[in-house]
Amino acid sequence: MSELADAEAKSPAPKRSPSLEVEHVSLGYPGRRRGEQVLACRDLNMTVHQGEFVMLVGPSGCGKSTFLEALAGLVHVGAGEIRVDGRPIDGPAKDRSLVFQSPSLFPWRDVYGNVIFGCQAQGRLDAAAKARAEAVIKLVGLGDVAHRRARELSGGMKQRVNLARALVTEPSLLLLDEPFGALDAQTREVMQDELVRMWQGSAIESSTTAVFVTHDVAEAVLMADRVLVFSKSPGTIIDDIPVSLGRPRTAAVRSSREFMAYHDRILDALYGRPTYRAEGVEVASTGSPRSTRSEVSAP
Amino acid sequence: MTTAISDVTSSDPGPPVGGGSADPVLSFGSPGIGQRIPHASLLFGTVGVLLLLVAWQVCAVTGVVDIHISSDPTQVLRQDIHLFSTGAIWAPIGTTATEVGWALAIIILAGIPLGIVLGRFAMLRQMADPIVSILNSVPYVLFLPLIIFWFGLGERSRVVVVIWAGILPLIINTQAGVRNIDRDYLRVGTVFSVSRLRFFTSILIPAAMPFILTGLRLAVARALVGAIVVEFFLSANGLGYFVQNATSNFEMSTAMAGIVVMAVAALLLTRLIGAVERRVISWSQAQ
Ligand SMILES: Nc1ncnc2c1ncn2[C@@H]1O[C@H](COP(=O)(O)OP(=O)(O)O)[C@@H](O)[C@H]1O
Ligand SMILES: [Mg+2]
Repeated sequence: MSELADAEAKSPAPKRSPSLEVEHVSLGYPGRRRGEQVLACRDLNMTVHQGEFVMLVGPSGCGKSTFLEALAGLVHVGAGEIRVDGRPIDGPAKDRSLVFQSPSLFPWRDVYGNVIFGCQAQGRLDAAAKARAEAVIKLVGLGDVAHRRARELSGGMKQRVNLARALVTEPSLLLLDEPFGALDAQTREVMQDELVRMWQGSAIESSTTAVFVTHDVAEAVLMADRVLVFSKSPGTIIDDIPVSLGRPRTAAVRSSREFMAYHDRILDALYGRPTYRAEGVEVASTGSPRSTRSEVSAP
Repeated sequence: MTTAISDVTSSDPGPPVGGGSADPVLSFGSPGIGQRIPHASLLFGTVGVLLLLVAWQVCAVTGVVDIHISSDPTQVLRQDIHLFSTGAIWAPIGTTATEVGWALAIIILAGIPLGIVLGRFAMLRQMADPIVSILNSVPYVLFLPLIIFWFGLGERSRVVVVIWAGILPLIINTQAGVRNIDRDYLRVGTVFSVSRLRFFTSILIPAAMPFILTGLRLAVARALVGAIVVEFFLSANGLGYFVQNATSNFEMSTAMAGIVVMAVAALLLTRLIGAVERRVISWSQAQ
């Protein structure tokens, strides 16, 4: 534990104005019977500050997507309140963009056409937006295929378009729903690095707040300023872990003891605290089966 | 889920995947014989027709069939040349083309919006469903006397019959296309706060376009049949009447010549729609 405490003390997160406030939010879907509600997540509370990169991690089916869609304005907020920059949200708006779990591209448009769709739909496709779209396409490495149709792209390329479409609208709140979940391990790593690079560079405004959903614990530690851990369904937040690892999180950082300590703390939160933690054993070096497992699966 | 009327006439293999972006130098895979030769389908199709014509000619020359009843390809060709050189065929072609042209314009302008409205609004759809399926499954020929009674013996009646014959597949297919729209497309639209108008022009219509064009292809085929049928019944001109008149005067070559004109027109229209499909919905896997 002391390890983590030290790390947290080293670089306290810069305190900025809250960008996203969630108070007592419960979300659900209409059930089979009339009037019945099936809870997807219950009593969510959080405050996310401007410029923070928050990772939501939880077992599948715990309501992560539902929550993210509520932030995007796709799902009706049944109880509680969500505020973005101080204003309660009421449906989708221009200040929020979602990177979908499946690429969801329009096959009749080419890469460029898909990337500008967000701005076009919001009625602000001006010269600046077009220039931004071209820049972002280059940035995500699709400069050579800007005029290819969506169906001619690989899975990784499609997800890049999905990401670029959200970035071009310059949202103040960027929402990502397991954007790399369906990719092969190698492509996933490349794209994680690219996103972090954009996040740190000037490609994404430093005031942008990101909420990124994943079920991959290593991904959570790799990207996060802060990790929120969801319980099993109906999900609620059971742990809030600031990650103060330095950036960029190079291969050395990823295999560091600190990284593994975060990794294990998240697993502990997800599965309950196993006894070996209490004994202060260094998990990373003992090679316990837990430390190699990074995918969360619902038991 | 509404099922679309399937398109049985489509046998084209479609354009190569990827169109213009294919690598110009390398080519991968080993295509079958049908793809190795450029325009293979056109070539083999022509060969098929020629074989049939040769067989017909042979049967006529050897006396297997009576030439007075069956005519033969050379006579039909001669008659076609004659009909075009004297200009005798232009009036019937013009009548039928005008009829079909008006009807198709109305079919497109009314059928697509109707299909979209029925696809979007469940209550209207439930109200219209029985009517649409009755109209689609009961042969319209049955209503012919009624239509004549309502609209008279003139061109108006003929256009109405052609519309009646052709519009239903377009309505049904458009409706199916609208209803089968991918939920992901709707979500993308919603997240980026798409306006109502742009939702129609940028998402709904493009997404439904493969269904719409299939419906149109069927509509054209049925409209042509409708035009001929109605001319058999109540016309003193038009290609249908021309063929019927020639047949009753026992001028088989003239009748066949008229049929050839009709067949070529039908083929050209179908090819035109195929070309539109290749341009407009080349993105669609289904094509
Ligand atoms: N459209 C829907 N209608 C009804 N139930 C749904 C719908 N979408 C998700 N659910 C249910 O809500 C719960 C949470 O789903 P989801 O938010 O997709 O979880 P996650 O993204 O964490 O895997 C699940 O039990 C799921 O079955
Ligand atoms: Mg999900």
